[in-house]
Amino acid sequence: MTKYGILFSIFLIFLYGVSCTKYSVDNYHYIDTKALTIENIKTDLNIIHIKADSFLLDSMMRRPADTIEIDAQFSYYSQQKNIIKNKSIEIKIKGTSTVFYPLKSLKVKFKKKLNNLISPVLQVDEILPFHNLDMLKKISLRNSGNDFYGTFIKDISFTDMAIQLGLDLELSYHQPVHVFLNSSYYGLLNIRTEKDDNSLGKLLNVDNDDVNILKISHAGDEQEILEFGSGDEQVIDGLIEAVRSGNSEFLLENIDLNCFADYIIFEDLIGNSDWPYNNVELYNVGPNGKFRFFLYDLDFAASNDKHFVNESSYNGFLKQLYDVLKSDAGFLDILITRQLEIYNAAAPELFESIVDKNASRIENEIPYNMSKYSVPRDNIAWYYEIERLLEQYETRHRNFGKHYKLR
Amino acid sequence: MRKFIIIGILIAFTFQASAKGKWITGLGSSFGYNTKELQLWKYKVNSTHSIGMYFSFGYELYLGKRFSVSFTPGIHQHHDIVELNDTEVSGYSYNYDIPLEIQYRFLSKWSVHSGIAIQDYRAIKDVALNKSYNARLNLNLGLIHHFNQRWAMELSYSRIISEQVDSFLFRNYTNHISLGVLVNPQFFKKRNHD
Repeated sequence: MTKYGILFSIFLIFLYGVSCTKYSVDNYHYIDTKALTIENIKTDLNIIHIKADSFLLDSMMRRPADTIEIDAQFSYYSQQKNIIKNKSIEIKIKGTSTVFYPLKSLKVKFKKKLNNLISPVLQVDEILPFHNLDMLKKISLRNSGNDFYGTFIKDISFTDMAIQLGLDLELSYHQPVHVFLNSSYYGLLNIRTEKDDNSLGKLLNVDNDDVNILKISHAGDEQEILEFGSGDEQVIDGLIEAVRSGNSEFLLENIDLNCFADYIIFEDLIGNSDWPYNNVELYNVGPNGKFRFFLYDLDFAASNDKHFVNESSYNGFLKQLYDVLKSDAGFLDILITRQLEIYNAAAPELFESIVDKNASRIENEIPYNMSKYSVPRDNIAWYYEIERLLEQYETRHRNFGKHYKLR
Repeated sequence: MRKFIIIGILIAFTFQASAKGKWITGLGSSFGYNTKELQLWKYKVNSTHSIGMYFSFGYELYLGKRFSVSFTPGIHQHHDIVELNDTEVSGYSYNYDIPLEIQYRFLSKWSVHSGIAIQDYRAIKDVALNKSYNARLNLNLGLIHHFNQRWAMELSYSRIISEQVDSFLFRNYTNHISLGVLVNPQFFKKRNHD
């Protein structure tokens, strides 16, 4: 019997050791990206060609964590037609951990602002009524950040949902594009509008010198750092002091309550786990403008099982601001009303239609990234990520409704 | 890993100490299928079944004349070939299965069993297709025909009853039908008597 016992134990260890799953995908259509040119690439998307000194460009790419900015020339093609030719720009690599990805995000700064009406680089389907994309000073060519190895469209899809819901906040518009660097194919990226003072000035049609920005960034272990972004430091210090001291009178007067409610509710609804101790930007215009919020970096959305409003262990700047404001009956009323409205409107069906549109738009384009970077691994892996995103949001939406008793 | 070893040894010695029971090994083939349409994003999967085999080894403890409890961990292998959007995907999965079942002998040569099983859907490679680490709960039902004290044949059905989270289409085969033989390995016993 002892032999059976030993045999049985060995068998259990064996079971644990050998269990695994392996799959292979056939009929994978490889594209020779080294042979690609602006003329022969088969695409429905527009093309950006950036020309820069080869040595400087290589140096920048080899040291992505260093902030190296180089001069370059920007050309833009739509349906093989050259819309912009050799416009002077400065480029640098954008991001934190994602700078080490093979396809890096690039920040493009036009030396002279770009008239997007005359030379349409960024064309969007829908724009919030108080926004303006006529002039551009800076754009990003984004690798989808932490969703680079996932769907490639998570951030833009949640952004589109915020637009379709007509939320009262600022956000980053987008358009997919193929990018060539010094005539070599670089990759499929998303053009994104930026959130610095210059870009906010253009988006809101105000003088960028009047834009005051406060950023909240991650310092590790769910700790946050408050960073002065730009503008008048005294205005930002005044806000920080008011939040720290719980000055409700100042905050009720100086925070755009509708914007704050929409911002908090939406981030909470989509379950962005890289927030609220990171990826927060507040701004105001002039010395007395109300502070509003910029929605960005939603790559970790639909992955959080926590709820901000009444369950979070987080007690950072945003929570302190929230706790002061919610003592006001008027704000609480806005919050309750908007939470129900946004929850009902942001149904999984709406998100699915948005994801479907964004994914279909690049379905024939993502094989270029697969061939060059093996990311995604193949089309099936990408379909799977999309399916998973839809499931995750459906689960998150259902749990949100249950938690706040909205169902 | 350690807890599996400890559990295995404890169970083995518990059974060893019991007066009535027998060791069982099982070997057979299984067929997985789905009653729902499988979809990945906007694409329908045009095949909804898998084939495979299993091997199990465990102990059956008698509880009176008609009832017994069995614990027969095993490994299940499944092979799948599906096609979606003109792309063929093939794969093998090897999952361990830890069942606990009650058996009722309603006739001298026939018995039925029912129980639950924890089945692992772990994957080694951390790539999109294999991102699943679910240990799921299965409901098992089966019918056994006993040829004699040593040999029997089993037809069983199992269904995943736990919620499916983060699963790829291959693991969405919620139903499995298995057909195999059960044998009481007496070769050690014979050797001991020599």
